Amino acid sequence: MQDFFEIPFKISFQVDELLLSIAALVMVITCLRLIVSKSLTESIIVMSVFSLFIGICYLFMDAPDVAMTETALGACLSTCVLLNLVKIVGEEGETPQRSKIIFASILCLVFIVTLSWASFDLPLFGTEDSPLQTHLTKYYLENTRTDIAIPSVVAAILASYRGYDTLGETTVILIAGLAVLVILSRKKQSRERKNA
Amino acid sequence: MLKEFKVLKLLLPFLIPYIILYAIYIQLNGEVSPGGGFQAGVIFATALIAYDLVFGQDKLHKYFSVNTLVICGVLGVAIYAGTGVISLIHDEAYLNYSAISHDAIHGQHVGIFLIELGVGLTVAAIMCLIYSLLSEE
Repeated sequence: MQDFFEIPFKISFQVDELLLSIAALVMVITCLRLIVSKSLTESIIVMSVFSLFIGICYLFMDAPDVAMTETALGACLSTCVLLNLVKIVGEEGETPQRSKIIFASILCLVFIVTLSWASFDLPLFGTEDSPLQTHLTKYYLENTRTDIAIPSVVAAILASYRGYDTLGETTVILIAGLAVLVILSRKKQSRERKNA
Repeated sequence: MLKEFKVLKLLLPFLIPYIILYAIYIQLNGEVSPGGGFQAGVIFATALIAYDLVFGQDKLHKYFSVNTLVICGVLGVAIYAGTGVISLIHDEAYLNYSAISHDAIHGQHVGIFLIELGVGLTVAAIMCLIYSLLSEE
C-alpha cells in the first residue's frame, strides 16, 4: 500500500526536475541570443523572454510568490517601460570601440568564474540542515499556526513578523516614484525655459 | 505604439476586466494563497498600462493624472504607518497587530489585511506613475 502512494510522488518529482532543466536550458539559449542581438528593441524582447522563463523556473522550485512577481514585473512591466525609453532615446546607439568590447568581455569572464567558484560553497537546493533552515525558518514554520493562524506562511512573515521591513520597502517604492517625477519634471522645466 | 492592431483593440476590452479581477482576487486572498499586496498592485498597474499601450494616453491621463497617482501612493504608505500607530495607542509595540482587536489572532488578520491594502495601493500607483511619466515625451 505504501509503495502505491510513493510511486506517483517520485514520478512527479522527476517530471518537475526535467521541466526545470529544460527551462534552465532555454534560459541559457536566450542569453546567447541576447549577445548577438543587433538593436535595442530586440534586446528588450529577449530579456522579457528570459524573465518569463526564470519565472517558470521559480514556479517549479515551489516559489509561486516570486514567480508571480518576476513574471508581472520583469516580463511585463519593465518591458513596457523600457520600450517607452527606446522611443525617447532612439533605436540606434553609437557602436562601441573594440577595446571597450574586449575589456567588457574579460570583466564578464572574471565574474562568471568567480560566481561559479563561489556557488560550490552554497547548500544544495532543498537541503534541510543548511544554516538558513535551522534557526529562524524553523521558528516561523512552527509558530505561524498559533501566533497568526493564516495558511500562507510567506504572508505571515512578510506582513507580521517582518512588518518593519515591508514598511521600509513600501516607502522605498514611493520614494523611487517621487524621484523619477522630480528628475523628469526638472528636465521638462529647463526645456520650457530654453524654448521661451 | 500598438494602435494599428485591430485584433488587439477588439480583444483587450474583454481581457482587462479579468486582469483587474485577478488583481483584486490576489489582494483579498493574500493570507490564503500565494501573492499579496505587492503582486496585486503590479498586476493592477499592468492592466492600466495595457489599456494605455493600445488606446493611447489621453484617457489614462484624464482619470489617473500624476497628482492622483502621487496622492494614492502617499495614501498607501499612510495606511500602513497608521495601522502601526493604532497599536501604539493601545500601549503595544509599533506594528504589533494583536492590539487592534480584543482577540489577538483576529487583530493579526485585520492588521495584515490593512497593510496589504496599503502596499497594493502604493505599488499600483507608483508603477503606473513611472510608466506614464516616461511615456509623456
